[in-house]
Amino acid sequence: MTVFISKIYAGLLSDIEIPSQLARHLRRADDFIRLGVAAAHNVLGDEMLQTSEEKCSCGIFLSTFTGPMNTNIDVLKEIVHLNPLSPTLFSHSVANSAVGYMANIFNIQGCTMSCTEFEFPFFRALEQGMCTIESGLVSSCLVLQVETYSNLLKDVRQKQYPESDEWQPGVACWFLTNNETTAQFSIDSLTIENTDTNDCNYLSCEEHVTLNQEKWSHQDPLKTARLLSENLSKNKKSPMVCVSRAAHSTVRLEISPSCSWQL
Amino acid sequence: MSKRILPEISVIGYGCITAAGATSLASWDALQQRRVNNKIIPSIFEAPCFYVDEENSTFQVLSKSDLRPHNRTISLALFAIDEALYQAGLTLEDLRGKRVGLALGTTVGNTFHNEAYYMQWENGEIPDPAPLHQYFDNNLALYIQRLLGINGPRVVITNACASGTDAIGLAKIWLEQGLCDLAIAGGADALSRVACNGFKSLRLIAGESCRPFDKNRQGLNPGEAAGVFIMERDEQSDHKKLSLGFVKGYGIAGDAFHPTAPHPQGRGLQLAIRAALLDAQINRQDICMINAHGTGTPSNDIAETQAVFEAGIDPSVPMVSTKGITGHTLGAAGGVEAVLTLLTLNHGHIIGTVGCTHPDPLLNFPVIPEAESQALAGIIGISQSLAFGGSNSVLIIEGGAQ
Repeated sequence: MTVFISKIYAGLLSDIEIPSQLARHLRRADDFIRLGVAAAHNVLGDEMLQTSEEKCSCGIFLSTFTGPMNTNIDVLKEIVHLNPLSPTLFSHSVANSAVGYMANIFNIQGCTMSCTEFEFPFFRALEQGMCTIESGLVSSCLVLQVETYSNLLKDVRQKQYPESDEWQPGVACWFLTNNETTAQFSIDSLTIENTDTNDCNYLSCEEHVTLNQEKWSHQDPLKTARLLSENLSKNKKSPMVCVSRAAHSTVRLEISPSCSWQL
Repeated sequence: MSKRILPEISVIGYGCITAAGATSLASWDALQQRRVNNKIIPSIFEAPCFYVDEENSTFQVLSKSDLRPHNRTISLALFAIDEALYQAGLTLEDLRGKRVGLALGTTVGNTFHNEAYYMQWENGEIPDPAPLHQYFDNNLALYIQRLLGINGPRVVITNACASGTDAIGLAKIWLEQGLCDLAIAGGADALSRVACNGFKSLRLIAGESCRPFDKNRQGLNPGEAAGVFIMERDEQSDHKKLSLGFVKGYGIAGDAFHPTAPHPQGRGLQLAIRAALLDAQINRQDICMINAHGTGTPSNDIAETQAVFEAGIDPSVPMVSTKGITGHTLGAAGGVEAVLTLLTLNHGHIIGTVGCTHPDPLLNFPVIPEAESQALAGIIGISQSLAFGGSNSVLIIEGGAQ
């Protein structure tokens, strides 16, 4: 079965705008949740998931490098200082907090999963999203990578790797579907090959990305997914081959423009 | 119902380590004896917890000398995996280079919560970097994939308390879709002050031994554990392993209701049960037992029993919770409970819910209290999990050992 991409969004935390109709839902949310919800709104809009069948057959696969680490640290702070812990703060520190908010706000009642992964988180989520559509468990799903990193990691990296790229909190989000009529692209193949190493330093790991003929090198765990998403959004008429190599693994993704989109 | 032609997914090994016992059979034996082994661990929490004493545990397939520094969640997972590999008759040589999927659920196993590091950092000192290095070296599935030398899909599912169930369900899909030839799946979680205090903040902690489904239940007891299945497509049993059972169906659905509380009618769980029955291609009447999530919190037990009733399961089907002997082991719970469900099916009788002496009359589905046990009328059962975020997951498991 072919899996299609019908919507794509990528953004940085600094650029995210929360639509007014979502502000009430997110008044107590942390940045990790806000990124996930804002990205989902960008790809789903206000009109999606009208029928009961749509709601139950739509899923979410969110993968993340560090999860809501700033909120984890806030919880740790309360515990080490023996302060009363806010139930809201604790519930937002759980790794699937963003997925829970997204499912609640957009009434998504199908398969929802959060995953934590240090090696190409977005592509691991994409692999699971494709697999579950092919299996028939869902007919569509949001695939996201959400990163807020944390002030702690930012501080550590500035001290240990002052020359390296700054990690930029943000999100990449695709809406996958088995329905070609709304598709912009079809996913032709995805392979992820692991390297047999125990020595990868994830704080400074370099990724070498090739998108067709263009090349980048960077150290930001979200950047490959953002670059790919932005390139696909700009150029909907050409096939795309994305190869990203790091010390830990190599990803190869081949995407074609959808026939229906070109008509 | 349209019939799909999918391979049967066979369980060829299982393992678990809980506070009740260092192996699956030891945990099973504690369940038969209704033995409750919880205690207050002052360094962790002020209320009773189920803490695993793994000091005397040994490996039969793995080797301690091969292990890099690792956290307690990984340690628990390795004991469960070692038992499962041994039971399946698999050596590391059998696994190396093979397409072996690894799906593991956890909650705190993949978070950074080193208090000493945090305090030094907060005070502007330069902390010892070792805890942070270990955090980055201790992704649960990545660490174990590299240790076992296996190739194949891997995932760490962090779906809160349904993580272990989802890991087994996802691995079933991988096998059906041909992404791997063998899969190791389940959950692991160590006790943490973060989770214990978090549940306390939500007023979900019992000050005494937990009493799932009891009219006087106060809440849950935190626990730690690991539980896994080793699974393969039944058609490919080239090493002629005895099938110990089957993962026949998987269903997952969301409440889309509240970040932490279950939907009062268990809307998502109803959907998940129906989806799992459809996936298993069986009828409700084929179910002979339910191993419930049964945390012992007032809201969970009401919503869960309501959902099972609404899903149309016959009230004569015995429903229990095993958390009275394991505690709520969070990301491990789905893995541990899948193992205990399979053991129950293979033994043909079910033990009542430890801690439940007077079932709550407000529950909408009857449960088996501690003093009772029942012979099972079939070989297919349900193991189900509910989680923060409104996620609900159901496995349908068939016994295999005769």
